[in-house]
Amino acid sequence: MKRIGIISFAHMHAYNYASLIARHAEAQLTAVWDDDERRGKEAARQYGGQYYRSLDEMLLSANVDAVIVCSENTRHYEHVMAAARAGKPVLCEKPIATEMDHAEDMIRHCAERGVILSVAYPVRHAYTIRKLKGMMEEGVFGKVLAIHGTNRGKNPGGWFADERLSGGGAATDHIVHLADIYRYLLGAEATRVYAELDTKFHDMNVEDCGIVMLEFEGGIQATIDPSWSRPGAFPTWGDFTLEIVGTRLCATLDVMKQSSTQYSRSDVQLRPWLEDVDQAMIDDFIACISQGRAPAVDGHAGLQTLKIVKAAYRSSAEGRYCEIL
Amino acid sequence: MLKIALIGLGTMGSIHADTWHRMDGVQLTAVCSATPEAAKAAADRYGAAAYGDVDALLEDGNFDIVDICLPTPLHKEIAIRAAENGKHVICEKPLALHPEDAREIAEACEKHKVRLFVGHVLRFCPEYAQARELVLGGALGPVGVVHLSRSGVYPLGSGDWYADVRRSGGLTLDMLIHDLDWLLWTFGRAERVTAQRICHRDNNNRMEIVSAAIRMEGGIIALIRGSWAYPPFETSFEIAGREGVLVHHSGASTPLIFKETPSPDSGNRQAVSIPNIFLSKDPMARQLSHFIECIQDDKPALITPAEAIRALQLSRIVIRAAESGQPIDPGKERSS
Repeated sequence: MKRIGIISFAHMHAYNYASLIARHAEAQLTAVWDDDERRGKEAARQYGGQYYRSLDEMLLSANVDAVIVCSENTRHYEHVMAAARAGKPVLCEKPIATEMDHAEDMIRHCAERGVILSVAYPVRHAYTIRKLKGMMEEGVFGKVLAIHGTNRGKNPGGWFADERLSGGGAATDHIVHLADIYRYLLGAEATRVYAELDTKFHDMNVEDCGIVMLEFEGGIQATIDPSWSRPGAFPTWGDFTLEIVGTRLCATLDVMKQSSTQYSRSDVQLRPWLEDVDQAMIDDFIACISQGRAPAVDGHAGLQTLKIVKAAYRSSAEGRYCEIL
Repeated sequence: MLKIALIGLGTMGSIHADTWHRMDGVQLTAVCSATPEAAKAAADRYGAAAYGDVDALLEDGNFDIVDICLPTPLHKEIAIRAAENGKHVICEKPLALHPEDAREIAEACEKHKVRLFVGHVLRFCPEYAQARELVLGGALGPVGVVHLSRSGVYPLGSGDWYADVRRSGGLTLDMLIHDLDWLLWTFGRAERVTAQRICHRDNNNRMEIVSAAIRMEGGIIALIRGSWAYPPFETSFEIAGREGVLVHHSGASTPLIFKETPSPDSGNRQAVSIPNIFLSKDPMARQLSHFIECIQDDKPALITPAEAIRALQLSRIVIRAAESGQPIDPGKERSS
């Protein structure tokens, strides 16, 4: 039975992770740290585990085998570094960090101490993505020429719109998932990025929309829409769509298609029945800890996708394509 | 009764011929094709005179309007000759291969006091016309991000002219010009254009894929995507504004669906002709009858020659942006 601690419930994904761990056959939630004491205590009460006021105390206690970091983006760095110092395997909410040198430090620090570092890219575990990856490896697509995707959401508000805590808006929040899936499916790295980013939908100081164009090794061309452009009445939290154009086969993916539609008195809602990809991700993390194997998504994947985000910001500021450094 | 001479009987020409034939108040009096059998067959079918070349057609002159449905590189010469002969000109899009050629056509029509209409049929598609009205009426609030997409199989024209980019301008000039025109029509000027373009050819097939990120005046960000790669022909748009998102996908807007029961002879049974436009007056009929009204009532057209030239210019900028690999500012291009 692996004892898991959660570092902060600032990111709402922490609640699903906590709930999955609380119900997990091979894990239990034993510890919660949160700088917001009320939030931390409430989560500990709801999902089990002890609330710690001191992060060091939690990390050094014998009560924790591994941690999940769900703090605000700019704080991932200090929290992952602290976990690594204490020798605890870490699953870090995406993005891995908001600065490239931070991400590099985190990866190096964990590697030096033999600490597992994984980044929360749950879509990697989706059946449809695995299926596409398998087909791509078999070569049924022929040569992939282009890949397009949208990962749009509603305005998450709160600290997500506060650059000091989030490191940026929709580009920081939503480019990485698709960028990671493109890297995974294509088995190639992005070489250059062009982005038009702006604030068009909400009154906030960070960008809330944009279009990103990428080129991957081998001349593969790609686009991403990471906007927080879904209005309140959009029937779900957002979307995740893909289009892959190969010389022999073309595929489109819309994960929300695995939903039923519910019409109520005043609104319409999608009721997704797709498999919970968070479950597969948590399973993978717990298996990694138990077996001491590498996670499906490592720190390097986090760093490579952060590079794309940073190049997108540079491109948008400079009005030209930027090379990935 | 306005009389029409139709030049070109390929895919678009056949649709035009059929549309003219069904329309009240006009008469298709002449058809012209370099393929004599095609001209003869159409002439018999529609009760028109058949011509094998444009010289003979213009010599005859028993018509008011020349309708040009030829490969793009042939538009300029024929359109200018029609204008010189005092005939109104209806021309399939794109008006010409290059903006300079298009301008010459427009000038010739002006000089000879004939009307010029360009077949930007998308303006007559109800879903696109409605989307524009909703945007301009403020139904979506200020618009932030726009997606427009158009895809289908690689087209096969006479002599495979589509595949020769110098003659067709490829996917951008032939297909995406529709979406680019809609974008300009709805949102005004394009201020920065970045584009990607891939052409692929192997023993089995050929493909072209284009994406363009366009900053419009007012800061609207548009992503235009097109592909000549796979059937079926599909179009979609998504317009996201502060107050709402408008979504259209052609594949999801079919009101009437037919399913055949399997039968032993289904393999060689004559396929039932199934329509894919479920409108009593399809966009082509709306467009061509609008052009006729414009001539009869001497009123301006929904698509002016200047607008057709503007769409052509933007299409060319998309192609150049894809070649250069960096964004292009159309304003700077114009002034230089």
